[in-house]
Amino acid sequence: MKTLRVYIITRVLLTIPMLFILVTLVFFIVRIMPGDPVEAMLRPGVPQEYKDQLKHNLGLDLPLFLNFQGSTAKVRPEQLFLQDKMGPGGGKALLVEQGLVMEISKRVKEKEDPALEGTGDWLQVVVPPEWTGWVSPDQFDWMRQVNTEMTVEAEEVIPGTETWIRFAAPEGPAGTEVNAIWGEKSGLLWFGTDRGVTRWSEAMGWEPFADTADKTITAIWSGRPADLWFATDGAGVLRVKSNKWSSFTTADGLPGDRVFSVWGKGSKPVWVGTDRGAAVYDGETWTAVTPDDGLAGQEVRAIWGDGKRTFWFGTEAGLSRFDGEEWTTYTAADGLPSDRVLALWGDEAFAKGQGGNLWVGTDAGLARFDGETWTTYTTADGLVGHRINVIYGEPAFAKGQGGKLWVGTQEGAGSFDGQTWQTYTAASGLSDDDVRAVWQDNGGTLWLGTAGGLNRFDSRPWLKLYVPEGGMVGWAPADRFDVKVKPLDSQYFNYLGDLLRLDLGVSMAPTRGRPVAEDLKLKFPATLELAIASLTVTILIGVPLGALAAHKRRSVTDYTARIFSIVIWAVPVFWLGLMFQLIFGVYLGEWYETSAFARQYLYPIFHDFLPLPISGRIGTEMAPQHITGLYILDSILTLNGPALVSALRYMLLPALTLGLYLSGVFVRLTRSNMLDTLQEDFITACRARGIRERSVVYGHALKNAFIPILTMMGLQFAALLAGAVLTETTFSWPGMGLFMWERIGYRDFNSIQGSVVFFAVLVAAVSLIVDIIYAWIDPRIRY
Amino acid sequence: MMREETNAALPRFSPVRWFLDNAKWYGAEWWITISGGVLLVAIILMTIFADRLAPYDPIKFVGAPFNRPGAQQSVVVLQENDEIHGVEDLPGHTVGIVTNSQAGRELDKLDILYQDYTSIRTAVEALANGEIEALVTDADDPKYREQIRKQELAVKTVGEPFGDSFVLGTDNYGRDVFSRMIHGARTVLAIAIVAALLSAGFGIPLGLLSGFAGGSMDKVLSLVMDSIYSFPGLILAIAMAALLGPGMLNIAIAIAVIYVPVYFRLVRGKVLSIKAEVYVEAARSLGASPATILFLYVFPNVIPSIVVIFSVNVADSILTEAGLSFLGLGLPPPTPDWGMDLSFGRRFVPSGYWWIITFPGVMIALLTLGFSMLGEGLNEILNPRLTEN
Repeated sequence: MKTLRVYIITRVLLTIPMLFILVTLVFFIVRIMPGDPVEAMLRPGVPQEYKDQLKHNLGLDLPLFLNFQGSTAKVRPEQLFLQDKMGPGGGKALLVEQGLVMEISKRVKEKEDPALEGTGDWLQVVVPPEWTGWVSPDQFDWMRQVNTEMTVEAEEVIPGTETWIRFAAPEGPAGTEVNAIWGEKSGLLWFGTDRGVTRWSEAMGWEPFADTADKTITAIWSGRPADLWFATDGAGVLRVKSNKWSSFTTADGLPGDRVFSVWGKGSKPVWVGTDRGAAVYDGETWTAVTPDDGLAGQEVRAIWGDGKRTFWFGTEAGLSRFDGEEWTTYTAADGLPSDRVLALWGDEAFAKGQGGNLWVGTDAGLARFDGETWTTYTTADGLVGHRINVIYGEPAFAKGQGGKLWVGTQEGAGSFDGQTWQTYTAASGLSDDDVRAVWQDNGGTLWLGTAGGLNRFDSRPWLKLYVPEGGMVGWAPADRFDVKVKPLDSQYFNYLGDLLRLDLGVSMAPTRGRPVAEDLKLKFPATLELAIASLTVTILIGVPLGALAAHKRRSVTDYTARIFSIVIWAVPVFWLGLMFQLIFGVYLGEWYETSAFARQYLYPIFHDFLPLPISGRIGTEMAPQHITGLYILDSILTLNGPALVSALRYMLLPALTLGLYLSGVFVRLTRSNMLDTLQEDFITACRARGIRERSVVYGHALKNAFIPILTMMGLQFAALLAGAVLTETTFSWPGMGLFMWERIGYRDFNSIQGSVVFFAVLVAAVSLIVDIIYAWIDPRIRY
Repeated sequence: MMREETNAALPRFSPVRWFLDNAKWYGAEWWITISGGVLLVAIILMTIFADRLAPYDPIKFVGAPFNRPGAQQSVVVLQENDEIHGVEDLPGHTVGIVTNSQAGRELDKLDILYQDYTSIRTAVEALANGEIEALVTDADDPKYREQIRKQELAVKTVGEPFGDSFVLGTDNYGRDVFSRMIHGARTVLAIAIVAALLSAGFGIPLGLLSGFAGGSMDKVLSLVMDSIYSFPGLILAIAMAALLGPGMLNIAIAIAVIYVPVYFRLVRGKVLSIKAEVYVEAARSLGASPATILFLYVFPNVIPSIVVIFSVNVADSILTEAGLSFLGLGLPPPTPDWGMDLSFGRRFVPSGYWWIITFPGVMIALLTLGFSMLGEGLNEILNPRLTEN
């Protein structure tokens, strides 16, 4: 039998490329389908990051076929911050340790994007599964939705991770230029912008005041709750007292309508600084103060009062001090960096006259006045810019208990802790370099108003996480990594590799994470049971009918059998099923329940066996103990009578449908095989010996014709499976066909691929076995 | 001959037997071809004159839902009621109908006021206890008859049945099943024929090339085609249809893909056997170019087989198209399409609305039958060697 062995080997070897081609074909057909499981599963409005991470976790972000960029990157520096966006504008999102190996999902060259100039190439890398590391609070917020199994291990403020959060209307102040900020003790924050006043509170969110939208606010001051003063550029002074707005202009006695500063003491007096001198409000009238009265200059940019009666005025020609009676002037000659004073701020000790400092901002730097001597700070000392817009001390700094002094300049913001300066500019995340206002609210959060928008300083602690699924994406400069190219890391090759390891992957939706093999294990017995039952029906109908037709050749029986075989082939199998449902399920059921005849004679025999159910596999909670998964076999093995009856009831209609559908082919097959056999010499010999005709035909001839029929059964296997898909759908039979059809709707790629590949292997295996049997029976085939 | 052996025992003349014995033409059983052909001609005529034949627009809701085939409305009154003798007497009397039934539409047309009842049971009860004097309903409806019987009511049907009747009833939206059936033929035929043409258009040249040229290209092509061929076609078509999305051409392509190997294998096999024929050998020795041999000697001899397989293939495509539509991967609603009608109609199987699912299925079967019988008959006529005995 050497040749048979050779034949089997060649046949098996040929099956491998055939399977490979099918597997490839199926893969590409399935994966190119429009839509994907992530989109099919999620409701609209889910953030893109969420989708991206899900896609990554499912391996859907890889290229389909070849992935030349699918390389890995190993972190070179000791610690590396991954950003959420590439380039200098990106915020720090993740902190990874040296040596961590990550996948590269994108690479952007420096010359591709003008924003990257000078920063080198950038890589988008993906954090691997089972990763432990530091994550920014923002990143954590959305990650929590994706990785349900994440665990938080530690919480810590990491230096260098502070970020500036940007606000813009409608979730922000009305205008882009935020010139002034004032916070009330109640938690209300007032923002003065180039498009009027906006108020923020935790309860109400952002509330722009539409009446003020045409005014540019330059300064805000409040001496007591619910009584605020707003300086406007061109529209005088606004006051809101208990939610009532009033305004004061030149008509009310102001020297000018361009107001730059406002400061007072309680409800009165209130000083305002305009481009034509200052003015003081005593609760009823305004009194103008000009350089003739002792003010250093006429353009009053800044006012600061100690809360008693002394007020300081910053003008273009020096700093003026008014103690209620006398004016004193300080100029560059006294130690100021410049005559042009733009900002003023004093701490509490200075206000009380117990030492302390007054800080004076000019267009050439900052000066500190301790009551006697002047100390200056310029860019050389670490100050971020020389033209100072605003000076603000955090409450703690004002009390002399730590804290920081903030200086807003045209080149950025600077903070001073008494020793060193830190600078914050657009490059470190601010909306704009031109910082106009600074405020620290009750919660300790710092707000910065710039010419380009409002920023909030975020120095929340980072979280150390254990992330089982991985998949977060971050950007970092390419020169921070050792890159290793891995070209075969694509969806296709991963899939092929998994298949070689007999791993069909996990479901992508709607049972995300469940191994496909588990589902197939559950569904395949149902299909197999249906297939076996319908093959039984097919053989029981097809073979006798075919033999009869061959025996009674050219008789009415023969023609009926042949017409039956032609017609049954042309009838759509699912329609046959529907008709059976209608007749045996619905009509029979109605009749069985209402007819007196059925009640009297049929019910005692069939009891509840009739009417036949039209969908499902077995009655609820009737399933027998799982042994093989074939319900009929299992119920026999466990001697479970009710389950057997139920399984048979449910099996009858689907098996009849599919069996009848396939029987047409078998009638033809048996008929033509029998006709051939009946012409053989040994039949003539049998007849000559006087053996009974019936015995000749159904004994000798049928036995000989049966072998090719059996082998042809294997060739009908593919048709059986195709028919099973439709039959299962019609009868809601929980087999592989129904499973596959359901999952196509969800674009559950792995499940579809898995079941199709399983089908392919099944068909290939069956046809292999059939071919081998055939070759064994008929040696001519081997050549 | 077999016939003499097996039928020798029949002495009597029988017209049926005579017909069966002589129902052959050139050795072929022509009744198969003729019946297939007649069926096809009838259905094709139907598609051509679909607009004239169909009494209603197939996609419009022309009637009330679930009208039984051929049903018309009747006026039913209690037996002691002598005042109403037909629909013309209804104005002035209290009339009842079942909500959303055809009766309501007909009475609206006649401007007759009526009361709605949510079910046949409540309507018949209302008639029994005198709430209404007359009930307008489909008097042949088994559900109505059952109620009359249950409530043991003495009623009579007066006047002639009136109103629209739908030959094959209406579906769940009140669309005419008959019109949808006729228009559905267009869709199915177009898709099936385009699909068959597409697969022939790809399969035949590839088969010719592969069989004629041979070599490694033949091996690779055969392997690919065999792989596709061995696989359950419908499953491949499902995947393809899901990939391409709805649309006539897309469905046709999805179906065509699975039938390319059918043509390929047939043509390649034929070419291989024809290449070995003596007349090809003779032509070659006379110096005919490969192109001449291929197109003048080989290809004409392949055509008969192609014609046969084409016809069978269209039949296959019809079934596959119906299967795809049934699975919801066919054309988007409301295009009339038999498979889709079945997939929507199956929801009403438990309610017993048989007419919604019966007729589209019958049409699919008839059309498939037409093509397969034609193919089978042609096969016996064009390839005489393949006939039995």
